[in-house]
Amino acid sequence: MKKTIITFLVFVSGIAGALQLNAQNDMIIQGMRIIPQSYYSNPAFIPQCRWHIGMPMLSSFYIGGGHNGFNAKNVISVNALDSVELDIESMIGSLKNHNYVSFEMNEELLSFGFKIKDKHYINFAATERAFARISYPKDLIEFAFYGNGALLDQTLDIGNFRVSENHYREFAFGYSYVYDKTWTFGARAKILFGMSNVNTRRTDVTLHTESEFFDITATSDILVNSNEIDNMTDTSEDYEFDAGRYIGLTSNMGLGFDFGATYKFDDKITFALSVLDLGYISWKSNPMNLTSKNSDGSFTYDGVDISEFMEMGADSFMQNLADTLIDIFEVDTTYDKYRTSLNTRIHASAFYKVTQKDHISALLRMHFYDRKVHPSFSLAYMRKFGDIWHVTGTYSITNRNYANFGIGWSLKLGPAQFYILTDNIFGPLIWNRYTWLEEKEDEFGATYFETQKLTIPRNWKYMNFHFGMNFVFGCKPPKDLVPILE
Amino acid sequence: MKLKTMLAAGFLALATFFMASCVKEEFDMDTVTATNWDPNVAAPLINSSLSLWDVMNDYDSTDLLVVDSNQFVYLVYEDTVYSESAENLIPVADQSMNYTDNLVLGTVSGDYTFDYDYNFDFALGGGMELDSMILKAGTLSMAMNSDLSYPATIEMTIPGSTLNGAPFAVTLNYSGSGSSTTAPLSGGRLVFDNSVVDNRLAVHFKVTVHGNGSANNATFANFNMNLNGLAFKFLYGYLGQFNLSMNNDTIGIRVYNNNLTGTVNWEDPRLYINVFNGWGLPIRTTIDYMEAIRTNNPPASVIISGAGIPNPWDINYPTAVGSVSTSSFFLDKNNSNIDAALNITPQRILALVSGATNPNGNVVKNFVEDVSRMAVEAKLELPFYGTANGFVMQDTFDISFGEDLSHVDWIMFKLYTNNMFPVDGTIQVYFCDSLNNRLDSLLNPVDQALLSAVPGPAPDYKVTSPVAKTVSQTIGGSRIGNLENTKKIVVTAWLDTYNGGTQLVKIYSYYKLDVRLSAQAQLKFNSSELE
Repeated sequence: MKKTIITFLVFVSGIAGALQLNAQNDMIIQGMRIIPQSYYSNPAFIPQCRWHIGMPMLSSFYIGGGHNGFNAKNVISVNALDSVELDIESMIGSLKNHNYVSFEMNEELLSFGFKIKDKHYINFAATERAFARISYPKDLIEFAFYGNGALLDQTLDIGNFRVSENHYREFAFGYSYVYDKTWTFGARAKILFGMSNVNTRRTDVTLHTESEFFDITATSDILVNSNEIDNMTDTSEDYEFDAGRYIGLTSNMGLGFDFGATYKFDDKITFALSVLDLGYISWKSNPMNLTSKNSDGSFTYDGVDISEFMEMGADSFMQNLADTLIDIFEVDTTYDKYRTSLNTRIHASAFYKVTQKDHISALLRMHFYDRKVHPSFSLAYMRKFGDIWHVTGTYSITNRNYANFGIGWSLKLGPAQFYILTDNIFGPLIWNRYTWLEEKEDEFGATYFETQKLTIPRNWKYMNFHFGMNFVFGCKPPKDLVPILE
Repeated sequence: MKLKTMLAAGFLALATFFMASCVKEEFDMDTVTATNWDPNVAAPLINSSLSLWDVMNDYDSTDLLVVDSNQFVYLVYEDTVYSESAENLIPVADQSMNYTDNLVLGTVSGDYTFDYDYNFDFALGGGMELDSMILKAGTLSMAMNSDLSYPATIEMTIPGSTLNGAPFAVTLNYSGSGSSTTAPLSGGRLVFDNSVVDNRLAVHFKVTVHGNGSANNATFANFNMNLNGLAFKFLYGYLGQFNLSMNNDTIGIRVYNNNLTGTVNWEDPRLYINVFNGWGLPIRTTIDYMEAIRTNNPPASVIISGAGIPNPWDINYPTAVGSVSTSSFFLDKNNSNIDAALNITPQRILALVSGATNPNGNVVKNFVEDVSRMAVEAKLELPFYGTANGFVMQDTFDISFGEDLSHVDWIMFKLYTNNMFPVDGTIQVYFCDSLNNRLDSLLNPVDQALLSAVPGPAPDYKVTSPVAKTVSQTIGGSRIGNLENTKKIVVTAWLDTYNGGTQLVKIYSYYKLDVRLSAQAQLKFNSSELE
């Protein structure tokens, strides 16, 4: 059992760590203007090359994930006696009220862009986007470990498991305009087609134990919307998932917008600001809503009424109690269309050109979801090795983690450009290995022990990879190109 | 320079690749040391607002709490101490008749008729003189023994009596000595002639001989008649003098069943004796004695006496069939010592009563129906008005807290009471093994859990506001082991009415005792124990 628990903790901290906190793109890309996809972090960032055509299906593939809760190293350590110790208190100490596990994957199907007279830039991209985010409350872990008796007079948010899954197809049309030598503006309009969605609007389940008589009050208010998730409730054997219909879905339309601007302060310093993913998707195809029948449902258990118990008998008393709980907390299923907002981001960045080949930059990103602002910060240094090879190193603070070192490079061989980027190179590279003996039976029924191993990143709270291939033309910048980065 | 830079970048890429295989720490999970998990759980257990009905339910679920118009509460115990039906009181035995006469008869051709008349005297006890009896069951058996060679027909009739509405007649076909017949008596009405001998029936036999001319030399005729299994529907006449067995009946006072010691002074107790008589005959009873008996330790008894007890007591009787007459008397503290008798907290009251029918002899006609009854009911009425001092109640329950409480560090019980009853109470729970040896107690030291509410002024003594009290106790350390061995708990309550039982109080139906019991436990687990 203890191994099961330990393995679970390791898995949660490790595997969940493979998922990124925020549904967001990498931060490292914005300084690498040689890569056309840097345009997506600010539509005023006109790429360095005059033309680009993305390699269909391979121009940009992004996968990332994160977990801002605990790491395996928070939980498992080796003591002075060379024994492994499990430190639940440390694990709880590393949690915040709401902890997120998330995953994102973007696949660019097709993209191209081109400049017109160095004043205008046109971009088109078709992208398949998918992300999932699950939040879990610290209160639940504390409740399980410390018990309600240690958390008297506190309202424990034990049910706040929020799930946000979103898969949609994006057709983006971008236009950038160099207004003058200091200002550049850009915008992208995006038509969105939703594929599937799970959106937890409310999962407010609380538990409160008061200190005088230990009365326990539970409340519940749930609203979960979903779309194209038939199999959540359809348990009939003849149900078959129609992949063709799913891929061709156009019923769930939405709109999105990106806005951006850059301001060239002087020859060395440039500021930039962008607002990304303002928009929504209306989910109309096959929606399903799980909602509390009684949104103010509350039940207080304050002890057994002996006279009622004696009068009703144990069976009837328990049945009556169960009926009461069902009345209060029953969840209803409806099939109404609904709308979800995109997770809007604001990027504020500054660039400093140290030399023609050495650039440094800073990025403050604010990500809005769950009615909260989730900030990240990144510092980057980029070195150009001619127009062939650009290398960038970053330091980021994100996911409540202060040790994220990223690296990225782009290599241009003729018109073919290859790039690979990550915001956290060390996280997935430094591993811990967990081994144990597991009893098994051979084909003759004899038992033997086999060493099992689990190797997971030591501190993998935030990780992403972004790579792709473009065909780029006209990348050598004219000396008077604005803005100043090139 | 360019080459240098390229080399540096290449080194960085190589280092990145190399680091991909870097395992910084290895953990042998088979060496995991035990990890403690010490949750603390708390929950309410009981939350009740108990009325007097709830409090009394455990002891007196079959008894009656009565509320008057002022919401004042009475405890009423009612028992039927005697109940008898007439058919059980007056049995009618089997009756028989046998007569032999000379029969001198030679050779006969054709029918020849002759008659016999007899008296059938019923043997009934108690000096009974019946005028009539209606039967609901019974069988008549009739036989003839004779040396008569011819067949004959014998018709037996009882003048004045009827069988199912027709004149009472039964026919016997004689074919040889020992010929017999039977007839059911249900629906028969026998009318007796008491002019010469009590309970006499006149019986007439008409014998018709069917001669065929063959040789015959008859010399005698014997008639035998039996009435068996007689059960009456109705009796009329003088039913005689019978003793009524009414001894050794008791009224149980279950409120005291769990009482150990102490006194309860009921200020106005009343004992009612009611007789419901459906028999149409005079009855005189004698109450030999009544006694309040305490069977719990220490045993005690008080004989109930006083001018209120009528001795002898002539019971009223009905004058029409189907009606019931009632006779009553009651005892209170003004006409008896019933209050003193109840002060010993008796578990029962014993009544020794004897009785007899027709105490003045045959001076009035009686009647009884088979189902008519006489019942004696006793009702003890205890208004909740008085005092109690040192009243100790105790009850035992089987319980198990579990065989292994090693995961429990401590348990804290918290008891809150909000009491509107004018009663102080100290409650202790003893944890005992299967042999009732006390292992531990819940409250150590003992603490008063119930504070009396303050009664108002006479004559109503009404409480206007309850009094709250909270008692808590933590059981931990070695005491947890005592809980493991506990198989029974003994709950003992020491109760005094307000001010140490020195002031009169009254209990009203709206009084409540709010009880809240909560528990908090510190648990301790070790991950190695979770295998």
